[in-house]
Amino acid sequence: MEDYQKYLDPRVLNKISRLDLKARLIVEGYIAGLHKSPYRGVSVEFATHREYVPGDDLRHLDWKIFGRSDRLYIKEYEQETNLNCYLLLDVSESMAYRSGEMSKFDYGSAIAASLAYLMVQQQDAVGLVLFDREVRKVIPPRSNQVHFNAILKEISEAQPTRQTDIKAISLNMADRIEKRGLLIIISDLFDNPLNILKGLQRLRHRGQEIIIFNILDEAELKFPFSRMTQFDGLEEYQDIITDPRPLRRDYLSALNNFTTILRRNCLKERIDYTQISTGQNLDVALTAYLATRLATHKLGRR
Amino acid sequence: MGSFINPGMLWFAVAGAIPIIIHLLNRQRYQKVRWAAMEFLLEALKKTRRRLQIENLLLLLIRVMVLFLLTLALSRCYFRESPLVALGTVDTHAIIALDNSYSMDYKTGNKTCFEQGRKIALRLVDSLKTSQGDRVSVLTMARPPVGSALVSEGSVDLKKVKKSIANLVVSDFRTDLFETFQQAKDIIDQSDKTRKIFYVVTDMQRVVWEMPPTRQQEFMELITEVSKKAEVQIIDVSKPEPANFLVTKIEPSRKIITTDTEVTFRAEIRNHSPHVSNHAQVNFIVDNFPQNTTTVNLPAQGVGTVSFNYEFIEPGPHWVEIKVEADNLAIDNSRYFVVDVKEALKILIINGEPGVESFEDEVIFLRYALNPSRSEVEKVSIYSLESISDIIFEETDVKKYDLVILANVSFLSQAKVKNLEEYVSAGGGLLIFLGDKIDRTIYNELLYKNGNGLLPAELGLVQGDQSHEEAFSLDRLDFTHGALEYLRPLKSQFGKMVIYEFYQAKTDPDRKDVRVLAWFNDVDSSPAMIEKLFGKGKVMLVTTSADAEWNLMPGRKLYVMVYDQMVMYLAAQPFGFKNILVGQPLQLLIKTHEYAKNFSLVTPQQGMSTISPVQIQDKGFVLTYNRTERHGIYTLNRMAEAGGESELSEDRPASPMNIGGPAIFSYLAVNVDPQEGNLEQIKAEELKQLYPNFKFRKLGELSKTSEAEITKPPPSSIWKYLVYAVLFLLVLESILAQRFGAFKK
Repeated sequence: MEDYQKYLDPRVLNKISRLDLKARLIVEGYIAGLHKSPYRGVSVEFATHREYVPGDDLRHLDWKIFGRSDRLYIKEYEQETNLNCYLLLDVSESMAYRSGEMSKFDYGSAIAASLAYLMVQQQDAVGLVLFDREVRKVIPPRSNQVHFNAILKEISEAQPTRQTDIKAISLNMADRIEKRGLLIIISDLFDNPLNILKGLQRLRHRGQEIIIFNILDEAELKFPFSRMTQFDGLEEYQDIITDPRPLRRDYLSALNNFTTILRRNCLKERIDYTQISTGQNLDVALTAYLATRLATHKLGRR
Repeated sequence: MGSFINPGMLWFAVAGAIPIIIHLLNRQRYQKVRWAAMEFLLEALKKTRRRLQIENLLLLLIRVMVLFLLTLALSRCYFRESPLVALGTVDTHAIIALDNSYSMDYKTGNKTCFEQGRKIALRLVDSLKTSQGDRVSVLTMARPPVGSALVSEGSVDLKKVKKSIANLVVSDFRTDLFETFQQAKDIIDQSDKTRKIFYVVTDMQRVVWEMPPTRQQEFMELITEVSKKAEVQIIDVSKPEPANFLVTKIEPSRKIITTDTEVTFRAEIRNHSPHVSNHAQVNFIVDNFPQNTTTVNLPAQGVGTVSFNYEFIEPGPHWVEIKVEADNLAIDNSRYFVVDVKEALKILIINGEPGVESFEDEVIFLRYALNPSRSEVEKVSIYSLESISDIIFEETDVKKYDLVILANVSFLSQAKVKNLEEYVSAGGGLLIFLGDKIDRTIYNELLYKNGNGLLPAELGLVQGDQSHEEAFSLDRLDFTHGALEYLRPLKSQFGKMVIYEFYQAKTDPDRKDVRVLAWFNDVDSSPAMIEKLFGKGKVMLVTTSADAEWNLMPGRKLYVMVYDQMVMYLAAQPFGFKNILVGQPLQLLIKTHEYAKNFSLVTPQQGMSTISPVQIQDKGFVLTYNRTERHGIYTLNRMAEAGGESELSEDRPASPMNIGGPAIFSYLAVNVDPQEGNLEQIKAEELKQLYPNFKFRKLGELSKTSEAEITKPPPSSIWKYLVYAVLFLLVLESILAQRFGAFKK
């Protein structure tokens, strides 16, 4: 049996270039680790037949048609779901930073792909929004494999270049999404926290569930520099040459202050805020999603 | 002014730039990071920038200071004056005083003290730099100076100065420290240089540094002032444990030396060494011919005496040399003494009462007392007597006599008195006896002249008993006087003298040139013998008569002895005129018959100069010679004029020594000052005790002076403070770096 769990480690994952494969390995590694998924058996509605191709699951073979016509047809179902999910992936320039093997964008892409895969597997409708200071690409939520492939394609092709403006994006999305659902924001959130919160408040006001994956690089969290360094500012910041050692304390303090404001206000707005380091295993993201999904499901049944 | 012992180490000052270079290089060598979280970085930077700048600057400054101060410490930085002056220029005025007194001629090994001192002086000049405006003044320390004591004054031409120093030689003089410091002070006062160093290159004689009590305070103030205005460095070039024998004194037994009479020369030999010297050999030389040799035992730092008897055969000038065996300082081993040997002492007796009968003659007793022989061939006395009547006295030239005696002379005129005054004033002797023939009014008027004349006292009335029933005697005599000093053993005999009559003489007790030698036992204690110094001569007044008319002295033993001594005393020419110390001027009175237009003077080094007598009012002709710079015998010759002998030379006494050669007129003995021969050294500690405010640095203890020692700067502990400062800064740097580092972590 393949040890899928190892694919939860970003370092291993980085060696795999295909995003779809990444997503599958992440999710299956995660599922395998769970032993039994409590979210299986969601009801589905038949949609259409298609001809059997080798490799299809024989469970979905329509034996009745086979009995009648001696032909092999596979039953295809339309997922019955009560969840519309948008994955909002930050493609601003700051996401391109990497200190290790994966950039924040790579890491965010893996999370987005994994979540999309998981959602598609669970017949939840998943859409994709790529944004920086404006919405660059929107794929509405669907829950089929083709759609999943389209999402992967968009993610793969995205190049982080410009500045972020999460507030503007949030307001945009609040106007754009009519149906209540789940918004998963994958970003380093390098923006004014109060502006970010204003945007998020609007989304919450529209009844959206929000999960925030605040992806930060390992170096951004630890600031491990010990020699004279020229910091080339991403997102149009000026370059700075400085000795980083005496700055570390104040830097970490500023960062901590930023995350504390975000975390506290997210809690207040009932937004699920999760800070993830690019050095961490990816199951954190999946667990966060599933926990929220479960909560939403329960709310929906009520 | 700041200077460095190891200036080469200053190159390490460049190391002070190392922290700055490291800092700059570090700024150049940096890693590049594309950074996203710029906002937090900028916020941190904004907070810490100012603090960081200060901290970095402080650490950088400390590190630079550490290296800089360390370099200064290694280069042994010292300040010549106050550190504030060190900030200014470094121009130096070196004043080098080189001791050239004769003690510096002391030689052990292959160099004399002076040669060593001269070498050091040359090295001192070498150490100066004209490029930074250094100047040098060089002065010699012996006085009076040979030429000028100031060899060079504030010269910048070091080559020329060195040449002048190289040409310096030892003099025969003593060191005069007072004059040397005085001169140095004048130079220092006039110098505009920042640093002034007064180098005293000397052999550290105790006798030189220990001033007589009368001058000590003044000297102390002077040297203290000099040491305040300049750095004083005393460079000792003396030799260890110096030993020196010297002849300090020669004394003849007679005041007047005549031919065919034995005279004893007594010499004092001093041993300036810590060791006893037994059987030190002493030579007796007369007119450059060795006569006798003896030995003497000399205690350590003590004196011994030797005596040599000698009988001069020829009259005229002679010289005696007494020479102790050779030692390391040759110059004072010999001492010279010049004597003028007379055939006889010429005495002119002016008889105021020549008698037809021998015993009526006023001076018959005196003549017999002084020269009992009537034979011209047999010489029994050193006196040659000539007696004349007071009437013809005026026509006689008294100047050729050694002594004139006025015995009961009544006929006195102003011309006679003037003649006598000139004679006495020029160094002649005059003995005056009184008696019944004299007129006290004339005597007081012509001879006493209210104290300005020849007569030592104003004459009063005749005292005593004309009937000769009552007599007086002498009850008090001054045996310390030169005329009576040998008569002390006969003291009791004077009370037995019988004097019937005498003139009362009133002396002025305030006058220092008048001295009473003997007093009568009358109620007034009237003076019996009175001396007056008149010019260069002496006058003696005996208030009673020379014959037996007023007393019963003639015929007595005491009469002979008293007047012999008195005549000897009055006629003796002090030897001192011709026996002088180096540097003292020669002044010789020329009698008329001795006159020549020019005299030649031959120095001990056989140098010759011509001198001419100069006429001085009332004193006749005087020969003067000032350049008695070298010890030894100077020979004075009368020079024959172009047309033959001097017209006045007829009276010149024929001397066998003159035959076939230049006419030797006189010798002159020039001796070194024996005090300079005491080589005992004074130590620096003693000097500090003696002159506590005199700040100096002494180098070269006991001739161990090396170049490195001399050029070594004054002991300064500044470099130590620099090391302390470096250590402090290192500790501070560690603490601060740790503290600042804590922030960084």
